[in-house]
Amino acid sequence: MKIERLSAKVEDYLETILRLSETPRGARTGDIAAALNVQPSTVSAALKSLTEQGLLNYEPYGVAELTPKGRHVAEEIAGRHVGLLRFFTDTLGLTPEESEVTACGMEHDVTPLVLDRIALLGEFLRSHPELNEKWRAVRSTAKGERPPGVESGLDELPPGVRGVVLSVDVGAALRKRLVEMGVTPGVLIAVERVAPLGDPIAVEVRGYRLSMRKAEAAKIRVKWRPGLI
Amino acid sequence: MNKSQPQPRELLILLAGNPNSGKTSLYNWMAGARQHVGNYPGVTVEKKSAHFQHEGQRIELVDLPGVYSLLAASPEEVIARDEILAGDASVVIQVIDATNLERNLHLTAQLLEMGVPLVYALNMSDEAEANGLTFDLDLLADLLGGPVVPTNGITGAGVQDLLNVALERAADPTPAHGRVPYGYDIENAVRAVAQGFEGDDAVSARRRAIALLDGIPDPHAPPHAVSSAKRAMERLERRGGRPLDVQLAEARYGFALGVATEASRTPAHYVRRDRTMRLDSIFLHRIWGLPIFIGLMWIVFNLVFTLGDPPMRWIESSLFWLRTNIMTVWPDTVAPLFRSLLVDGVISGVGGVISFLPNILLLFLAIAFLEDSGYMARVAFLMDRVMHKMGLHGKSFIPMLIGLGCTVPAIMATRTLENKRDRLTTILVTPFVSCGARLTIYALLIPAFFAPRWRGWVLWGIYLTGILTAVGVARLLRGTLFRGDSAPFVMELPPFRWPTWRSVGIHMWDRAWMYLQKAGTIILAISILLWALGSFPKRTEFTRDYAAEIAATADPEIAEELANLEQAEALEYTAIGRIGKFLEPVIRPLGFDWRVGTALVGAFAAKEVFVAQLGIVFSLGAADESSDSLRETLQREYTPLQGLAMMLFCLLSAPCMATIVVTRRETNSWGWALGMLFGMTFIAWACTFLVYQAGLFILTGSI
Repeated sequence: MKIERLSAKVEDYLETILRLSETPRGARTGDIAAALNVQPSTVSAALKSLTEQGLLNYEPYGVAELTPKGRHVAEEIAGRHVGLLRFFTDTLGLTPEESEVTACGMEHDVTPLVLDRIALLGEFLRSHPELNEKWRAVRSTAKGERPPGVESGLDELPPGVRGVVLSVDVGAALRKRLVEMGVTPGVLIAVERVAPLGDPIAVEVRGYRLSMRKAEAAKIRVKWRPGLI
Repeated sequence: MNKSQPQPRELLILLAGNPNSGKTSLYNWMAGARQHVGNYPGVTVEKKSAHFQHEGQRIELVDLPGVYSLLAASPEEVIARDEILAGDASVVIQVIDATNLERNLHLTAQLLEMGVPLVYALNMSDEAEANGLTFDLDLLADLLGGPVVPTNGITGAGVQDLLNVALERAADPTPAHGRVPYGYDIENAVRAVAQGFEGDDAVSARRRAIALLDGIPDPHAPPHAVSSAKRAMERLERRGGRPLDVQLAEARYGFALGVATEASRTPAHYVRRDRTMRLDSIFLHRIWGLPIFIGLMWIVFNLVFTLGDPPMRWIESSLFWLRTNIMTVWPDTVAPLFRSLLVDGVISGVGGVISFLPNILLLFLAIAFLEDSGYMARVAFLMDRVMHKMGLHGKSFIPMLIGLGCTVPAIMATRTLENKRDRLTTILVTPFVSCGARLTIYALLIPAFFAPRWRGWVLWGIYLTGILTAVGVARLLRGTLFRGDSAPFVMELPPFRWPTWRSVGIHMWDRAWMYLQKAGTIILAISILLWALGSFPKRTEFTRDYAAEIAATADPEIAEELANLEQAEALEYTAIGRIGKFLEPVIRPLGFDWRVGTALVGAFAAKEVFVAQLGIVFSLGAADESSDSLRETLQREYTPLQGLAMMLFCLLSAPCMATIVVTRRETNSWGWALGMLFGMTFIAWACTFLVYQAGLFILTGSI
């Protein structure tokens, strides 16, 4: 079967009709016009054209019903829309309004492969809560986000993200050592790098570099701060 | 002679500061070559001091150990605090790293409580200015209550100024007047506790009260001061919601940040995307960091042992030349005992001492370079994961690597470990790593007992056994003698800096001199003792009249054989021979006879002597590890299992007396040195016993 590339406008009509036809009233011209924010007369003309293309069964002043072919196309478009919307709200953390506007703009241009990959990335992060948590925190440090106030051990602070030390919950000897090195509550701290073998870590605090084992860092509670160092 | 001029009293100046603040390079500029390195009594902390004159004034300058605080949490901190409080110092100079003002000023906050006249050396201020910082020196001096002198540890700029200012300050010894404000609640508590110290002046009472509140035990504190401090601590911790020592540190850092912000122009928390960060992204790279490290270690190892080899040979050949010449000039009919003492005891003893010198000089050249550049901290950072699993510290890696070449410099290399438990564990296990001298034993024995296709595997197995034993013993020591949490790995990664040849040279010279002076004398004495054991009692009656027979024969080969037999009989009669025989019941279960025992006693002087001693007891004259006749004899006399037992014993027993002496020197205790000697001997005996007996059982069981 030849896949026709439909215009963005046509796709919007099909998508809207699909959504409305699932309501008890069905898809009526007036409702479609309202949903797409156009004149009812424009809608009538468009519906006629869709009927000619074999995507729709439409009698003037009646209910618009999708043909099997039309339903297939409409569902595909709606799937794209939902996929993008979900990615924008869940993964990118955009507001619902911004997600809706962006999804409406993008859904017509995105190729099936890109869409697949985007869905896969979203799914991957959802199925790995700890990674998702870290990603959210990193995301939160980016422009346009409020600090999320994630709290964790210093060992979980992603490299490049700043945190504020909340407490140093270690034995007296190690605590004395840490505070004399400047790791006191209230100080800004950031993980600069992790050793190639995975432990210890190097942190930046008070303008110099300090290394400690992850087990020690885990007992230093930090609140994540926006902005990369 | 200016007899008329009265010598003014010598002024004591203390140099305090953070590690990596450039304190030692400033000290080197001031003290030059007039310095003396010793030990503080009872601890392994070095005491560096120098006497010199400046502008006609005699000065004793003491370089205190580098510390981050004076809270007496480590031996270094106790010493630094006690030296400052001893009251003998006319002035204390704090070296402040201008590129790291905030953390350096945290120490200043504590120094201000000591009530001593202070002078500040703002070191590396030019480097900081290149990074975009500027300083208001006058304001800094006002806030810190003492003059501030900009210095440069690399060029020596400002050092003369610093001494002038220190002398001026010493002439007017009022304590520095800056003070850390701890806040209303804490200050009230400090005042209340300070009232308990009735005999003390106000400054001392305040300092001791703060120390008590900080949780530092004060054995001489009046009981009511202690109990009042305890109550105040409970109250303030409840109120503050966190331990009081944390609150005190916050206040000190608050002071430090305040001063830094006021007196320098650039936010104190600014991030340096500087040379160090760029170099770190190479040297600590996720993939390339380790290969670069291995490459650098390869260079260090080769520098120490490959480059050290020719001078070692020159030393040995010049001693050999000296020895031959003495033997020619001094006929053996004149005072033969002294001739033998000089030639076989003293000269070979001196040789035993100074043949290590090239290795030690080169090792400390490499270590000084690694430390002064800042890479040593990165070595610990890279290797800590592996070494921590073994119960050691990241910095233990370098001593163990050097141990593959020679244990003596390896033990001296443990100086880079600050923590005492880490350092002792590393010292005690490094000798298990098979050293170069033990290779001569394997080189003799492996070809004698094993088929060519197995030789590589046996050698590899021996080295692996040594390393695994070191790991096992390290874990054992950690679980028993040095129990408790391993030392925290909270370590500064100092900025990368290019080391100066001056400080590297002074460092190298210090170590070499200390080795010659402190270890050399004892090694020489033990060499002479071992010579005596190998020479006395003198055998006068032999089973045959060798002298007559040698005189009678015309065949030089028979004459040599007779001379060798005579030597063997003489050795059997001496103390070493007797010790070997006396030990026979003990070493019999290991598969050794008295001849091996004699060689083992001799091997205590140095492992390579084992081969020479075996040559003598088997009447083969002078032998070395490539001697085929000795191999044939060994093959005839012993089984491969016995050969393996010999190698195992030599691997696991104490490598040589120099190791023991250097251990004594580095741990400052004969207890650890002798503990190492007996412990290693016991482990060697037990392991060899198990292996030999098990081998015997398997072999005889299968026949």
